[in-house]
Amino acid sequence: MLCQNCHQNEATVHLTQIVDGKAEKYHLCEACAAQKGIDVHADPMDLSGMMEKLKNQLDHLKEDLVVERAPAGPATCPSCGMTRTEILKKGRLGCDRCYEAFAAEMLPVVVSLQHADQHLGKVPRRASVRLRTSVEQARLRRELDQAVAAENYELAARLRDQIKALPAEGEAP
Amino acid sequence: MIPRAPDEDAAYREAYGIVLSSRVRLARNLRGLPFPDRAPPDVRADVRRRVQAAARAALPIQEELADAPPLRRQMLFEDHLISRHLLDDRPEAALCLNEARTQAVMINEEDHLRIQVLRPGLALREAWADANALDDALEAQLDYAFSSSLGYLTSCPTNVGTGMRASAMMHLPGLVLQNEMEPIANGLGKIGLTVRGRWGEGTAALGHMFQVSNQLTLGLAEERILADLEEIVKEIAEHERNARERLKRERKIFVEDLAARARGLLAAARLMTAQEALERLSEVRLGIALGLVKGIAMRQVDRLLLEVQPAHLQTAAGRLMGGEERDAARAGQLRAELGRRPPAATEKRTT
Repeated sequence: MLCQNCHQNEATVHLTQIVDGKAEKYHLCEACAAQKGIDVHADPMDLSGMMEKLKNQLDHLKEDLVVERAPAGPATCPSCGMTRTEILKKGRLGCDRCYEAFAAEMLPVVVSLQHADQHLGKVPRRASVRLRTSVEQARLRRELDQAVAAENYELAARLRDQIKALPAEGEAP
Repeated sequence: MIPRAPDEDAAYREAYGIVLSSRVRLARNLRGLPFPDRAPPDVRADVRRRVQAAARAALPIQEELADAPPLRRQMLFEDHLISRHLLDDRPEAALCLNEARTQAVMINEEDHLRIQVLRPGLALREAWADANALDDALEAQLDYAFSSSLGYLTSCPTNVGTGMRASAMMHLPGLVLQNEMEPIANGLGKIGLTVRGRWGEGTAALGHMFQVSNQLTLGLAEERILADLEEIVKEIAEHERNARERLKRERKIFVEDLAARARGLLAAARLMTAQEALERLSEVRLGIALGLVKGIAMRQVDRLLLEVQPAHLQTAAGRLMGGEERDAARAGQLRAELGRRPPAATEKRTT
């Protein structure tokens, strides 16, 4: 297969990008992929195999995350008194409430560090049903995206049903 | 006398030759309270009291770190039981441990709780299962800071989400000697993992000991992070095995010389720094793995890798020692264990 971009070299970089829930595939040569800022080759000798195996995760990292900027919050955390300047200087927060108080500053920081904006892991046992449902829903949505990207529509349909079956979500916290 | 297995070190070498241990740590904080660096002393003391009470059943060995002598803290650090952060005198810091010293909670580190589980060899899932159960037990009595979007909330945003850092400690002399470590280190960064030296920075890690761990903590479930990490650790281990085989096949005299010189120094030196000891032990360890060094068990080398470190050395001696005194004691122990035995008195003379 030839590169979709230059139509000259063999396409060796295959990418799936999800746009509006639809999977779009790209087949590029290394040079064109590099030009587009897609860096899939660390070291072809040792890591191409590893990279391939982690392609799903890699796609997840490539996924463009749009962070909605909350309106600038207060200059200090109402709970611990930490100031915005202090947080940005230290790179550490003062307390759990700081994440909310400084959401406008912290969310972009979290996204740039973590390449993600949604927790998909363990939820404390004593967490409310609403909290649990909200994480579960995010997890199913992510799986749905991946199923669609892999063109596994059977799985996608099952996941959609599972999402519908979740208890109705309350207001976002 | 119990009959000895033909090579009792073989099973050890197979299990721990490349991946020495696995570790899972979870960062947790109590809801509505300032993180340790921000909290006033009475809040930290309250956190310590509450966590100690919650941990008592699972982790009965509890000690204050704030009042502990520096040597004690250094000892716990060398044993991987506390972090570098707690080497400094942190007010109201404490440690809770199980009897086997495989499960721990650090209190008032960077976060209120740092739950940690250590397992020998490659056992990331098992370590996670233990850490998860311990976390559940603690959570039954503690109210954690948690958000539905950002997960467990931590002092540093690099830990937010699962709060989980999983790592495998790997001995990678083959990859270092074959100059293959750097591309691997660079590549790992691109897939959300990191590698750093156990006793030093970058690829010039002391004693070829590396810790491979996940970098990302948000946006992936714990099981997924662990599965990816395990896969990569296995892959790196395979590359290490290949690199070692190539060393033996293509550069046998070089690697034989390296291990023999290291053994000679360990057996004869009168002064030896910790750094030199770790480096030479690592080279002997490689020699053992390749069958080029006989008569020393890998298990013994691994014990020595721990015992030659400063706090272990001084704790064994029962006193604080100056730099040169330590180097002499270290060399003395290595010589006693690895040096040539003096000819036995009953040895027959040949005529």
